[in-house]
Amino acid sequence: MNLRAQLKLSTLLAAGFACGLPALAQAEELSVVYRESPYVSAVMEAAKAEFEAEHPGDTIELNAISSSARDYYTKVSLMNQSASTAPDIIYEDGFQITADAAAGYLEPLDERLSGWDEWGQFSQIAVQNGKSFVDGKVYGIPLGTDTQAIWYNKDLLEKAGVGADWQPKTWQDILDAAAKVKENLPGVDPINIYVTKAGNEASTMRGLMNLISGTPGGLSATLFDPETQKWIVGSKGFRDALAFLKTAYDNGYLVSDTDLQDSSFQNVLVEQRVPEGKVAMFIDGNWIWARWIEGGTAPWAAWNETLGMAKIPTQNGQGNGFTSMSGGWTIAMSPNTEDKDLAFDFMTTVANFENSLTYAIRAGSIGVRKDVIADETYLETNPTAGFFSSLVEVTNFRPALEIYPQVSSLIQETMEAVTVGGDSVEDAAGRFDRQLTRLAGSSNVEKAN
Amino acid sequence: MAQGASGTGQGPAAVLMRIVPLAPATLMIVAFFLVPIIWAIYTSMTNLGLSGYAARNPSFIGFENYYYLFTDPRTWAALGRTAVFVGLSVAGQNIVGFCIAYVRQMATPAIQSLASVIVITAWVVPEVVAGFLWYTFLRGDESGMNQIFDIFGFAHQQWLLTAPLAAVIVINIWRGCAFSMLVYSAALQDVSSEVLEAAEIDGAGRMQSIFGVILPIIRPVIAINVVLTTLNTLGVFGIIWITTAGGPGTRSETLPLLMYNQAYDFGLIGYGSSIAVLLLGFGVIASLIYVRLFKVGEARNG
Repeated sequence: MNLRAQLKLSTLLAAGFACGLPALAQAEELSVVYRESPYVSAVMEAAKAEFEAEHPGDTIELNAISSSARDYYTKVSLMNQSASTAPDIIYEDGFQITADAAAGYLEPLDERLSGWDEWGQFSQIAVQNGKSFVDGKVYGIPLGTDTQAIWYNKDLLEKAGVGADWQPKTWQDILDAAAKVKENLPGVDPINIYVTKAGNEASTMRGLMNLISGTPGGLSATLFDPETQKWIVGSKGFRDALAFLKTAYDNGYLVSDTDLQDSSFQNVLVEQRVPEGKVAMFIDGNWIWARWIEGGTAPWAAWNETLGMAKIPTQNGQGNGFTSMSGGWTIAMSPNTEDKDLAFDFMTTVANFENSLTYAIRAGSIGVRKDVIADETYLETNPTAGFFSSLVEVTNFRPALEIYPQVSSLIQETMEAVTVGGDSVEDAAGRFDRQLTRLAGSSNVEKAN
Repeated sequence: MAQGASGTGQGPAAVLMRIVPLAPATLMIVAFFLVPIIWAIYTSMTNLGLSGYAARNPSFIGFENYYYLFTDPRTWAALGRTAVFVGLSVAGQNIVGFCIAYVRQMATPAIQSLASVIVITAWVVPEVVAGFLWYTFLRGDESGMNQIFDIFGFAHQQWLLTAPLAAVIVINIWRGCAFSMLVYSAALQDVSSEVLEAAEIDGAGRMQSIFGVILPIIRPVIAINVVLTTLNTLGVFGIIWITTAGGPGTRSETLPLLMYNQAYDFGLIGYGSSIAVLLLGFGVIASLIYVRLFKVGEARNG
């Protein structure tokens, strides 16, 4: 059949199809905006095909933006400023949900979600990443998440007398292990925790928050209380975490001052120091192994045998015993969408089992659906998936309010002051409290209990 | 006073003729100096932010920023560091500048020019470049300085981390002494050789002739140079920002660094402005002293 005949046939078929279904609702077009990457595109295209097959006549217009995460956020914010350019469906970083919901760019989903039979599959903890910290409503359906742990070199811990199968139960256990490494393995840095301004957001999230989320009361007793909507000053947990970091620094358990002040150290650590066996323990995310696989930025075949993972313990082993910090992307809807039920249909297609599985496997992220994290293909393709998925039940999310970037900067400054800066915990924490009060306004802070 | 071609008539045209030439200068001062200052003072009384709600809807809060400013120990710590930084920098720049100028004038003309070129190079190199050169020279175990120390068998030092304030003071003296050298070279040429010879005949040694003859003669120049270098040093930002960024922690945070940190790291533009106004106050005081000393000098010379 030549091309012309083919065209003629399809036109005829389409015409006949349209005439045969007079009751068909007016065809709708939904625009979807997302940040271009192989795994997001794969999921979106699969969802589009599936959705269009189920809703004949309606179309999905995919708008892939190829840019850095920060530029992507700026571009979507600009599109959202006018109802005529606002996309119907947005691939949204969970970290931006609070700010965007407050700005009126997102539609709350709670009612529709309660009618979705698959909603029960989603981990209630991971769902927090799609919620606004201000009103507690769900604005985004989570697609994947990430968690953090203490990666450690089994050989080094074995030689240091800690043992190759290591799981600290308290902060003190971490310090004890570091002390043994320091004593028995000269030339090896016991543990890496990001504690300076050079570490940027990694210092805030992977350094301090993994600690304060493990103090009694967690983040809501040490940083921001979602109940009262107030930032916390004068918290003991916050001071204890700083004291932990100060102890680690003062005893020489952390990497050198020069490394701590080097903004490119995050790459040096993962791509050189760890494979060279120069660092015994380091607190980092589940995604880090992707650098060592073939085709990664620093292939290292032995990583899976050499490294072990330990959960980050709470301060004294209280509560669930362990903690972690998470982020991750979601799928959200604009309030300007004309047919919200239809848009919601597309969102549930994106977040269904198959697509969530594709996303988790190809993005190397942690699944947020119970059926995904139990899936065999998922567990087989990612050797760390089982371990890191188990952390979702104890994880926490950053209070991403409007002033969060400044609070994060303040936290980094405070951590740097008690370590490299040599300040006392009380001085640095007092400065933190005063500065936080000024940033948030005195009516938006409260004293810790 | 110059008598223009238009004469000294009293008519409006004559007045206009006097005002017009002044207008561009006055306008420049108002537009680029007075307005920004008034704006900064106004901003310092608002809660203007860099982004978010307080950026779109700043409100007038009176002297709240100043209340915070003067009750925060961090401000006083930064103020103390600024005093140490300015005091030692000014003393260092003047002493080193004078010494170079004094030694230089005894050398042959060829050596004199060579010395000038070397010292002035440090001064004309842009602040960021100078800062970065020092940063690479001092930073880390493999730094240029530590490699030199290796030759002599000295222990490695990380002064940007262990003595950050001292390090930035040394860097600032290094960079600023050229200016003082130029000023003192000119002043030394004005000291007549007869006076120095007379002192020598009277049996004055070198030190005695410096402290008893030269320094008293060039005293007005010293006074003015001290004020000028103070004004210059008060606003030093680039060198500190590049070498230590005010850190580690806040250990080399002077007022300009604190201002930047508050205005841009924390987005508190209003609060940052109040620190700018404080700095401006110190600048005004130094300027007033300068103007006064200048008048004294003029009266003496004239």
